[in-house]
Amino acid sequence: MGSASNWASQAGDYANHRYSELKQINAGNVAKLQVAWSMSTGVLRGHEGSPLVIGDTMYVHTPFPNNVFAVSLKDQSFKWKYEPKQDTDVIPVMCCDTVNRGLAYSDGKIFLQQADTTLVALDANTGKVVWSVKNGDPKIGETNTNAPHVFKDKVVTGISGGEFGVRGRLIAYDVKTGKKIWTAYSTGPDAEMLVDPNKTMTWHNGKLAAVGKDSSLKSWKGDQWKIGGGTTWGWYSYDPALNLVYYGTGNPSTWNPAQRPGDNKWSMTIFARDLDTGVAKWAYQMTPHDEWDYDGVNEMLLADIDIKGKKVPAVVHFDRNGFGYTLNRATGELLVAEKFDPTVNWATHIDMKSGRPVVDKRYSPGTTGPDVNVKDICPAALGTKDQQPASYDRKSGLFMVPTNHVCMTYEPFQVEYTAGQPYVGATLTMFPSPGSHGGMGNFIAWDAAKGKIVWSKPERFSVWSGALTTAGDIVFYGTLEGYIKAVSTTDGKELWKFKTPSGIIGNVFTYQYDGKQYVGILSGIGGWAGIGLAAGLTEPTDGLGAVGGYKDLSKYTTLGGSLFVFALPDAR
Amino acid sequence: MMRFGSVLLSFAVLLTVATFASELPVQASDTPSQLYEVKDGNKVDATTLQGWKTWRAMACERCHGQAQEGLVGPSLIETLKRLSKTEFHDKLMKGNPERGMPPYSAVEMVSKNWEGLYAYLKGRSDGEIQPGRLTAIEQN
Repeated sequence: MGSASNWASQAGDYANHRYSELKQINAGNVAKLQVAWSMSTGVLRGHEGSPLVIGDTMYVHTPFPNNVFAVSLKDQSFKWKYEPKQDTDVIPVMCCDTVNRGLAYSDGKIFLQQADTTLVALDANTGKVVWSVKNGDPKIGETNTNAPHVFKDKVVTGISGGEFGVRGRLIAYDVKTGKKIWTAYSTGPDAEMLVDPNKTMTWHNGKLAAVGKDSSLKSWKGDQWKIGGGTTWGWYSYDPALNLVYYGTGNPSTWNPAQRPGDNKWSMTIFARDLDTGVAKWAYQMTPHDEWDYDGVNEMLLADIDIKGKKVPAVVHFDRNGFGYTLNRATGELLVAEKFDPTVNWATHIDMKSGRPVVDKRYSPGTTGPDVNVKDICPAALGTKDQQPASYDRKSGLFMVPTNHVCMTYEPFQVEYTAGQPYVGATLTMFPSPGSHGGMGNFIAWDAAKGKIVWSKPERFSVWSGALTTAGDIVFYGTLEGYIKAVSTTDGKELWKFKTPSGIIGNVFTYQYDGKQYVGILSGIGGWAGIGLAAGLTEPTDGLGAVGGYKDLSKYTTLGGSLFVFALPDAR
Repeated sequence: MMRFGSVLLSFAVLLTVATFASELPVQASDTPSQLYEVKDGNKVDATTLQGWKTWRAMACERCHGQAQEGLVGPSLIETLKRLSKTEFHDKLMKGNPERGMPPYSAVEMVSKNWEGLYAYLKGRSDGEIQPGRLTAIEQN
């Protein structure tokens, strides 16, 4: 990871910056960018995440069946291929898309977190399995879509299945042997959550206070925490100086809030845990008693930020719930919580003293109760931003954020839990934010010290692609129509774009090989935005506007996975 | 097993209709009342209502779309024009995991209400039942 030539982790670093010091390609010449090479992944469905580059090899992953290709950068030949044999029974429990967010690398090994919850360590040179462990059970709805993350000597992974009543947890394994070091649940008894009632802190009444005994158990009715969700499929980060891992937990199960009274801790929470022991240093719940499916799993970006004249070690997080949070990452102190899309309406603001959202009852399915259709809630369940990771521009200190601009109707209903069966309990329709530009996305630059949008570039569809900022003063991202774009970090002005064969939900990456900078992206539509969303758009809705919603996507793109790599033309 | 047998027996007549319907699609809309009762497009008989509730609880819309027009999974508006009731039952119970369709034979709610589900989807396919929320036909 040390060399800027490599792209050795999904975010390029531990801090989730998605920033590269490379600047051969820059604002002045990016207009000349052209395709250097491309390859088919041979797989349909949604291609999230990005390949890794280590030395002269690129490691490319695919959605289910989670094949891995080691590609020689010299001649694009395959050094090896890994094709896991997975039970197809896992596909229905991943409904509706079989995405995988990529690989991790360390210690001469490539780590693959398969859909069926098998975590595999492959020899980076040969593709042979070094070790393999299971961290879940698809029979009860447990699957994986997240990338494993290597921090120091551990590989950290999570679990998906919030719509199947899975009990979320983070798990750390030894990089060398695959030995499990710790498991930290999101819900349940203190000991199983690795929460110390007296030492784990949280923001309470304007200051930090210990969470106290049974902080999770007290916030659920009966045994519901056992099927309480709080899954962990996002992008984690790590601060080596503090030795803390940061990640978010997902929605409480079910989506029908009436069935689970209480705050449902610690779903929808930012956790900071000691990497070696897993013990929580602090926790902050963003959306207590969720009524909207605003998972808190989105990436945690670590940056030192000037706030009111003071340099603060911060964690910055753009939540599904539409608020951009800045906290002191050492202590858990809440510093900033502001809307990063002005149309967000489910809460008027975050009360900075209690740290809790002030919910607008007009948009609260938990207030109106089951079988009532609550209209015009903004954002929609997929959030003002979903997993598509933001980037931190180290030069300007701004955050470059791919966002959704979508609202919804939400009707909860009673459901019974059956292991391995959907445990959803709400019907949703989604549409572009009314009274706006008619598109379903924006790409924005965010000031995390002030909690303000600096510039915003409207997009026709949700920007479901991870951003990459470079020292060349440009930020790259992909669109659901299939464009990869480069825009100026100063004002969002479009400098270059190229249409790939399919919609983009992958993350842009860059590397240098043989003295030349390359930029790459996986193309291949799918995921919730790509396909799942056409769902709600059959009934005419005021908000549909000029664009006509996600249904329009079929005019622009179709399924198909490929990798595109771009470079500047050689000087003649 | 007993229950399953009697279900098959009691629907022998409907099965015949369904089989015919699949061969002669024009007649399908001539006989919807045999499968489901619908008023104003969104009020249905008790069995069909249970079928819709099953559809909703199993989150079928995640693959087949909220209006059954298909997403990752196929359009049931189209599929129900071709499948016989037996074929429908078979696909529902066995699933097609490779393509993402779970087997529902072990799920009580589905095995109890599959005929209502069939009736509901048939009503959607026939264009007689509207997409979205349904209520019971009021008993006078």
